[in-house]
Amino acid sequence: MSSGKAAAALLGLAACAALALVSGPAGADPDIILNIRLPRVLAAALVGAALSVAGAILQGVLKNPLADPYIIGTSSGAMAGAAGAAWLGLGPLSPLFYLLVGGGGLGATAAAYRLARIKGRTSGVAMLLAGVAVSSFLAALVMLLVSLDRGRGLPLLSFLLGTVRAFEPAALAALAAVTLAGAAAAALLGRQLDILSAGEEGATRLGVPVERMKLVLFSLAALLTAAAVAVAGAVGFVGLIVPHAARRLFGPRHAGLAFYSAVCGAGFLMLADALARTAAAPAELPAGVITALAGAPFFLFLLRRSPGEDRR
Amino acid sequence: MRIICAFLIGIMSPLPAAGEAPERVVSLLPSYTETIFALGAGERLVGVSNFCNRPAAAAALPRVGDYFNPDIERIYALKPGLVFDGDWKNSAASERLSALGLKVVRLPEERRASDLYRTVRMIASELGLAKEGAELNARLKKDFSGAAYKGKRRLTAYIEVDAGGWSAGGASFLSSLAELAGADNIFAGEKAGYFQASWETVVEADPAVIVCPGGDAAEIKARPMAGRLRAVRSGAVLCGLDRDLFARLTPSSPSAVKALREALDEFR
Amino acid sequence: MRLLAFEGVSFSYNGKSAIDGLSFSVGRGELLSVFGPNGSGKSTLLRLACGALRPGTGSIKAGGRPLAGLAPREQAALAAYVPSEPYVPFDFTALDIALMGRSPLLRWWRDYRPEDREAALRALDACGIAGLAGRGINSISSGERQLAFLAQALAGGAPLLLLDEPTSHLDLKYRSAFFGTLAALREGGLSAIVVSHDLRLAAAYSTSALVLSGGRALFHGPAGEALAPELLARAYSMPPEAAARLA
Repeated sequence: MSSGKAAAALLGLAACAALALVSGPAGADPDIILNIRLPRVLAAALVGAALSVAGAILQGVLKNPLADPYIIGTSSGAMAGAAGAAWLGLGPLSPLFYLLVGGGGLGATAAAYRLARIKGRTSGVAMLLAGVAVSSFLAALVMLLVSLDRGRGLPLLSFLLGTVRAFEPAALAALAAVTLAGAAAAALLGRQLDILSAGEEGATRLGVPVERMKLVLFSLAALLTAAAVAVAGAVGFVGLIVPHAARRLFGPRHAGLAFYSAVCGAGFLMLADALARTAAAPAELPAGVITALAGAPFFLFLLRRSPGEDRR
Repeated sequence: MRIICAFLIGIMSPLPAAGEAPERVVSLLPSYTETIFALGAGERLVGVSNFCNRPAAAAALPRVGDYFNPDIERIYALKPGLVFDGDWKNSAASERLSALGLKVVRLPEERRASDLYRTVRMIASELGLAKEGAELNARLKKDFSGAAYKGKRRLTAYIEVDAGGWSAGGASFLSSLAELAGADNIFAGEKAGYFQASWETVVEADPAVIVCPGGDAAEIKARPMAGRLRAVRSGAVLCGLDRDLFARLTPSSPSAVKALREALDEFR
Repeated sequence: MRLLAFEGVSFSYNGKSAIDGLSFSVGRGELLSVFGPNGSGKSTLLRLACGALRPGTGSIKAGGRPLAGLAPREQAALAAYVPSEPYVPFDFTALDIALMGRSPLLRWWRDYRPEDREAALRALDACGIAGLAGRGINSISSGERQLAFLAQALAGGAPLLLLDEPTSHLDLKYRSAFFGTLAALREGGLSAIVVSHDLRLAAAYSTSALVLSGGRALFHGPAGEALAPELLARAYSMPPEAAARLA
């Protein structure tokens, strides 16, 4: 990882942060920037980073550049947890809310992993299918709740779309810890992830304990995703697009990819959230809408570029 | 085959001939239900939506589902002469009911308090109660006028209708109800009906009062910079108002205005 | 001392016998080709040699010591596996791929050191593709890609390579070049076990051959003699005239 590129990336991040802090319907009022925007921009940065690192990890483990952090059931589990919390009347002010949401996400992924594990092995395809199965089931459960009790269900829909609004400082601190530790762990495991992503056949001979490493990596991705969703709901496309962009700009080696995905993801979501705040002021769009709008042109761009071009 | 079915359906459903005032009525919105009772035609109702809980007699009527997803079969089985629905929402149900040969009257969305008179008039006319409708409207005009605030000490207000910052814009009847009660909605200039409002805009506007019927006052006070708002410092966070009363534009709305005006009077 | 020795090895999948009483060994500078029809136990042989499977009966020794008793790092130091036509969804460079071969030598949290980089470059050079070090693995030819994976196995420094049908998906010119490279490496002291369907090509470059049929060894000896028509006819269940054309 060249220090020149890393410095450039961090500089870009700082620029995004500065831009996000001064953007908003209330202008550049320093009080508002400090008290309202700063925690929000921080949350956007952390959520963006967490989702991007999770996406990079999963794309590597599943050897699938189209994997996103929600593919192994984490977001549906988090939604189910949020639905449970809503049913109990708990909101983002209560720590139990975050535990339910985060726990739901982790639980769903654990269920998917258990389902996908056949005779001690968990293939990428099996994990994908199990993730889809678990996600569909839980999503249906959430929809059931929403249609049964519209009063408690409506706030859930807003959460579902993904929005970086109000939250507890303690939750933010927990997210920060998880994101930083998770990104560091992903970087440390970069070499192993490189080998896994280049084919499981030879991975064991190259000293990578394949099944154990997959369990560790799935858990890491699920943890990062669950924490991000607990704070901001299911913001889409970040975990899918950012690792791609980071790979194109900075190369596919996963150690560096963890860092660059985190940085690019943070910048991307900060900007998306700033746009969500200002585009229809004083109305606020969910940040997930902005990221989804960015998704379509991105896929078109992917289509037109042929795979496997020389980088740089 | 289809012709035979339509023929059989046609014979079997005792639909009244055009021109007769319908005796069996289904109402899919709570506000219409209340209006029908207020017109004295409550005994004609054979089915209401799950949310219709006022007046108390309405709660005893058969339920036909909620207004997003009414139970078509149940409505049809009740053989109503008339179904009242709102035209501003997903219309698939209405179309299906019409296709089954039922008469569906779709009333336009109410965007101002004064739209209530139009709703009353339309419902009354469909029920053949034009005279009663006019009388009700006259009474309502008087009640609104009596409940309204006529003084000079108007207060700026932020209206929140649902968790997540859902606020009422200028195109919502709630905004005009608040106006009648002497509160100037900070978002009255927004053309939208309901939208998610940016908290920093609210902080910037620093309203004198926060009107949040059925909301969570503790959650609002815990928001960033809430402690600096005039409304929070003076305790003017009005979450104790009845949510249903403010969520619907009905003949009870003058009492909503009165309740709000009295709550606001404390802080003028 | 034999690099790898099978002694009376048998293995069954769910009661179905895949290998039955197999005995052979490979020494330094030996290129052993393994022939046989599908289902004759070739892949099972390789997986047993890799340590991925444990024999039901018999023993496998690597460098004179029982394979089962060796730690993964020790096993990796003795034999390296060359995968065939791996799909790499991400655009690693040939150097990245070769570097991965150094992984067994490092602790899990460590990144590659300068000496690893040098070893990887030397391995690429030994395979004749040093110039492709910075090229993306998906933008070079299939033959060059297979050579990059050969370099990966070389980079780790193991004296024995295990190859599973390395040329099955390659064009003729690349197949020939690949075996040529392998033979050149053998002359430098490297040993290899190559499972292949490329009878003539593999036999031409190998020192010895093993012909399997139904999990048993029909033949184990000099490569040139493996292509005897009657032998191939028995092994592949073909009429002798057809087998004669294969040789």
